[in-house]
Amino acid sequence: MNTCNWTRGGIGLAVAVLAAMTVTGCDPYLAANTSPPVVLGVTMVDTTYRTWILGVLPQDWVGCPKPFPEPDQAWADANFAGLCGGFTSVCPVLCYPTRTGPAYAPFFTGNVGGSYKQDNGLNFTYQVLPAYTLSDVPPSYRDPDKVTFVYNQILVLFNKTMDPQSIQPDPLASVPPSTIQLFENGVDVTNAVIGTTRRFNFLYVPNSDTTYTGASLTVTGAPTLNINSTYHLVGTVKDQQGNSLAIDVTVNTGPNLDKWVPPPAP
Amino acid sequence: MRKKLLRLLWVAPVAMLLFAGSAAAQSTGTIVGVVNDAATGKPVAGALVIATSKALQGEQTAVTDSRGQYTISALPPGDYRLTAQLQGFKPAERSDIRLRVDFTLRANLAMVPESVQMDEQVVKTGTAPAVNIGSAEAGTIVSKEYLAAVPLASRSYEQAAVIAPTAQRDAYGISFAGASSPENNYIIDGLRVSDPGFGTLGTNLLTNFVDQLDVKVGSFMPEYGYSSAGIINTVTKSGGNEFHGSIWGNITPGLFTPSTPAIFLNGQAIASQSTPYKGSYASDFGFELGGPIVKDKIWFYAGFAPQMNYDVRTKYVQSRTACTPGTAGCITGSGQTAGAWQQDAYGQYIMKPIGGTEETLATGFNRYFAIAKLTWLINENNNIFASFNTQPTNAYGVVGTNGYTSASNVNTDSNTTNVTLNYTGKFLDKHLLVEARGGWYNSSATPNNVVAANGVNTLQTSTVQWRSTQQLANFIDLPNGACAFGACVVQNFLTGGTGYTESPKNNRFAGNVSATGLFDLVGQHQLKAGVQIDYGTYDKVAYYTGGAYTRTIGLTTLNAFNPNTDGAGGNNSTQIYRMFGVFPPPSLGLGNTNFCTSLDANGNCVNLGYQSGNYPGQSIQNNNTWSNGYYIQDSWTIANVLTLNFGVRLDTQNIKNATASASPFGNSLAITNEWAPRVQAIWDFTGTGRGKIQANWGMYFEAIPLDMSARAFGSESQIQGYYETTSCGNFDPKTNKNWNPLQTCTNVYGLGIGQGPGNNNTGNVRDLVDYGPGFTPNATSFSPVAPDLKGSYTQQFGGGIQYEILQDLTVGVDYLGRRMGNVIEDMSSDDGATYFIANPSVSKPWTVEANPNNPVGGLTFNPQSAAGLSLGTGTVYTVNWPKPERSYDSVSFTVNKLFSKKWLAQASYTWSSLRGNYPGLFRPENGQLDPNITSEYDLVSLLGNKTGPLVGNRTNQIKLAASYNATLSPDVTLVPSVNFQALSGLPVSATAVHALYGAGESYLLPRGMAGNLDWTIQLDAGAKVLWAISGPYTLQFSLDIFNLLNSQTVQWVDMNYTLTDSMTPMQNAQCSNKNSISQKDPLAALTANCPDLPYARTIQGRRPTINLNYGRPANATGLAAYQTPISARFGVALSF
Repeated sequence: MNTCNWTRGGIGLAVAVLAAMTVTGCDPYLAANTSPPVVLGVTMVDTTYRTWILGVLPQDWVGCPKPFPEPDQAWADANFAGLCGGFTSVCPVLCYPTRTGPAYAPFFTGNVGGSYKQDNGLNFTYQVLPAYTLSDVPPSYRDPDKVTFVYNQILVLFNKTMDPQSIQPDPLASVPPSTIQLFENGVDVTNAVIGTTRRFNFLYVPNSDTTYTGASLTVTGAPTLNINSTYHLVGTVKDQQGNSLAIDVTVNTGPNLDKWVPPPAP
Repeated sequence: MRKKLLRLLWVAPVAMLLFAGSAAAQSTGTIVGVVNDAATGKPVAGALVIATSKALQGEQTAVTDSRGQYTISALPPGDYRLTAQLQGFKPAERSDIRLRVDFTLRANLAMVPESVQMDEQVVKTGTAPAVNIGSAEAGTIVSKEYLAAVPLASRSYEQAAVIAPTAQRDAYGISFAGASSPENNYIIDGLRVSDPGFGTLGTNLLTNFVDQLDVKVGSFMPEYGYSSAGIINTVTKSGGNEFHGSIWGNITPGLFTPSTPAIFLNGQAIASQSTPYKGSYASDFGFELGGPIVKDKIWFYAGFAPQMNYDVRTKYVQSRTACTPGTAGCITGSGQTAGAWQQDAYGQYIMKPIGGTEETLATGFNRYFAIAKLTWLINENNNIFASFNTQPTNAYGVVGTNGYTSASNVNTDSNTTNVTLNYTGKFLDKHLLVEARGGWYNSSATPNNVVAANGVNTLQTSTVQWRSTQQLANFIDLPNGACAFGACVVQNFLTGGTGYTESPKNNRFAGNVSATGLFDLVGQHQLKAGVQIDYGTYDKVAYYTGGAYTRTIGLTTLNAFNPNTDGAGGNNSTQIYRMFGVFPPPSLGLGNTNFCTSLDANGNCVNLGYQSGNYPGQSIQNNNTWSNGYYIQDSWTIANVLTLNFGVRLDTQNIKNATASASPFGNSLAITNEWAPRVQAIWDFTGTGRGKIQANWGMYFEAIPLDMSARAFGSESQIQGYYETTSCGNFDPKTNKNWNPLQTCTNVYGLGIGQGPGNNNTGNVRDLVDYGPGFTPNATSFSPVAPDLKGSYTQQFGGGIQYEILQDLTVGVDYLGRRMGNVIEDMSSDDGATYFIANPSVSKPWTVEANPNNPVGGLTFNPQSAAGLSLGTGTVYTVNWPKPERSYDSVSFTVNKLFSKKWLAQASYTWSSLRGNYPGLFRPENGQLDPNITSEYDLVSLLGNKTGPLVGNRTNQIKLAASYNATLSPDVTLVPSVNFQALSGLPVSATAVHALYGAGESYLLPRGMAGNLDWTIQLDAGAKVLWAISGPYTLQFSLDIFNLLNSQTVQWVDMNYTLTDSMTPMQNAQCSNKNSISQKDPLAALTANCPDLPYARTIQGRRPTINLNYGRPANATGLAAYQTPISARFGVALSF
């Protein structure tokens, strides 16, 4: 047996094994999202929304022109004139389709949160806000097709999954911990219970649509929110790594809107 | 020389002409070496090296050059003897050179001058090396000795390929190094026999007919193409100068095989289990004969073998167990009309079999193999062989259990035929090798109508899926009192015919011409260039029996059906779930919103009138593809120790749907720039061919199967719609087993009576979409192709070392890596409204030219970013398409012992990692086989949580196969053998319903988060007794025992966390323990380990209805829930 061959072979073997281990040693998947928790945005949700019409998106809806200039952002650049309080004509907010059917909620100036900061007239950077205010929210809206939408859910969207215990300790009870409070016109309504005229359900929702969005906190007023009222949601939540995050959301409701025009009498 | 050149000029064009249109693969090997003067060590020039073998007609010779080097190529695999002769030297000889397919072996010879005094007149050199020093490709060889000795549960040859490191079975074949099996190239005698429609293995062969398998896991050189994964290059047996043959018979009776545990959904009334002892069997018998027609000139080989398999299962009814509410484990829930049901500590209903409900079901097939081969040595430098095999098959039986037998009673005639013609010629003093091959592959399948036991015509009756929970008594008569209080419920029960039916006809005309030049230029070169031409067709007629596959929606009745009331009100409807129609070409002027049930030969729209008969709407598709390959490669050996292989391959693919209904705006696909460079370096550190260190890198393009053409280019679409169930007449399946909603329903859901198509209406199927929201097409007419589409490919790279530590015993360690390059998939950037074919995240956005006749004219398609509709809030989001990933890395330790000194062995341990978001050409989770158009990249909303360990991720593989020939007496030999595999378990996920795509499509948790199934341990053992009874005759008795340990490990489980609720993923949710699936109660463990899971919500904001069967054993496509129990095969053979 040639000793030299054995030596060379042994070196080769060692190199092969080391190279293999180096390449295969890293596991890029399944890592927890350890980035700090942030509130990506806040919106009001029509809880009558039902997705029974599926797989159909409007081909060319206002404000969401293809090819979507800000992919990988939860908010598309949208040319909503007058939206966002006249802040800018380019409103980088949650992008709603046109009101073409019963599956689509109408947009209004109050149902969006967050904002974009225009850097140089061309690029826009999404800016996370320490506090969100939604204004002119109609608790009820009837569109020209006589379809009624009920905006009674505040949705606070995070960038990652959170510690459920910091939002809804018991998955079977829609009650928040003491670190979260909801005020209605300055009155603490967090612990409104069944039997009162209205009740607020606090839910931790870990499901989300995209990889760059995470869990949500939803607060749903049953049956509806009051008109011309102020709802203030404040508190502290945590992610699963123990990082704290303050939330501060104000929702100002306006009157109910009715856009339906009855047909003229025959 | 001039004459030879002239002859070459004549022969080459003729060969090109003969085989034009032409397949490729090496079916031979090469021996190289150096002849030295034993006294001085100097090379001997001008020595005549002669190769002889029983596998070789005549002999092949070479003359050593000035450096003493010789090369003898195009040698059929076999055991060779080399002799070197030169005046002034004693002859030198070297034997036991075991040459295998596509191997290059080094066999150096030392010649002793005549002047040296020796006793021997012939100088015999030591044992020949076994290391392939000509290539760095990954893989193994399965020899005929291995096939004959090692117990293989399947009698078909390809299953032997799993002995290769990194190989494992998947749903449709053998997966190599993490790739999906349809990406493989399957070759028999040089002919590509992959199915043109789907890329799967297109030809079975009994192992008796196979000489050896060249299993290429990856990293092969440019002369091999049509694969982004591995290659199984198979060489069938040939004749010889002596007559050899055998007669054999094998049978695996079910009598000795126990049942597997029963399979059922938690709480469901129908259960089934394999009961082979009730009459299952697997058998084959046949003969083979090979020999000379003219010795050393013309050989023949032929064989014939029927194969018959019969598999028995037993289906029975079971009821839930009533209990007293309030007692432990006693729950009240949906489904019962009174009482409560007992559950165990793990949420499983306690079920009781009901006596007298057993029903025996069987499936089976009868196949008739025939094979023939003719080998003709024209002269020493020219030979031809022709190969033929065919295998008509009839498959039959009831394949399902959750329904009437008529709904899954199949009877299909199929056949595959292969014909190959091969020419090899040597010119210019054997410095130019010309090879030409031509072949024809043909396959077809024809379903036959069966009148099932319940009187239903299986191909003429619509399938009805009763989706909601039903009392089993609504469908079958049960023993009195057996299912009181609704103790026997079923979901998704099937009645009627068999549903989707397809009659495919495939052809491939393939061939290649190549030329290899052997020359010296700073070392030895083997420069090879070739052209491969491959024309494939895939024609199919597809339809749904009775015209449509239908489902009942919302129809829940816990008592006996009453058609007058049960179908009324609310959401009760009958859904036309699947029904074929086609968009007629614009030339017909019918517009693009009208459907035809089919088109005639002239492309005219034909309304075949489902109302007046049972003739269904059909999808008739004719597809073809030119897949051509051009390559050049060099194998450059420097100083007889370092070999550099490098080359490049160009593949082009032109796919066309030639159906009359194909859209003129998008019926074809052309890719002409699939450049695939490949390099290898091999260092023979021994200098004697006994060891090598190697490295390799290359690109490998997929050959796109034609299924995509049929489904995406053929204007094939399907109609969906709803009827009011109350307008359907008698739908009670117990009294109307032939109910066909297409014929009897009159009222489209949501419309007034008489407004929809049906018997009482004047409308026809062509006008279905005109009926408004009740009936709509559920897919676009065709999918446009990205103008800058690139071929789908993988990159492969690796390296390792092999060393022959003992004679014929090689050990090695190899690393193999594989990454996805571009991927071709169908996509939708508008959440399912329109689809297109592109490279996800790579192709650029484009706008289709506007045209009023083009349904997608003027639309913009974006393969880089897309919009999705938030199903929870109604908002729209945008997202970049993630790049398809499939990353495979492995390290394999191997031991290979060629058959010599009475024994052989192949053993390996492989550690591997397979991760990503793209599994390949089919979806392992649900078996969807639609190469390049699976649902994987259809919608961005399908992609959440998809990155993780892919289904084929078996981290550890241990394999050992070995046999030993023990001589008991001069006439009797005992051959014990073993085949052992230990594979770590597959990863398990938790899925939910996607609102548009259905169950199993939404990854609730990151892929693989539930952990891995247990190891699968399979020990097969065999023993053969060979008795030399007289003269050349040997009688063989064999016994093979499969799964000797009777291990019944769970191989697949139900991964549906919910089967009823649409949910979006819990993006990147983490679990504290990623091993839930191995716990006694996987569902409870998953819930406890994953903090987000108890809070999961449906898109409607509700808590989901959890599938209590989650994590329980379940059958999957191509994979049974449990390992096959112990079984025994008995065989007898007489050979000579």
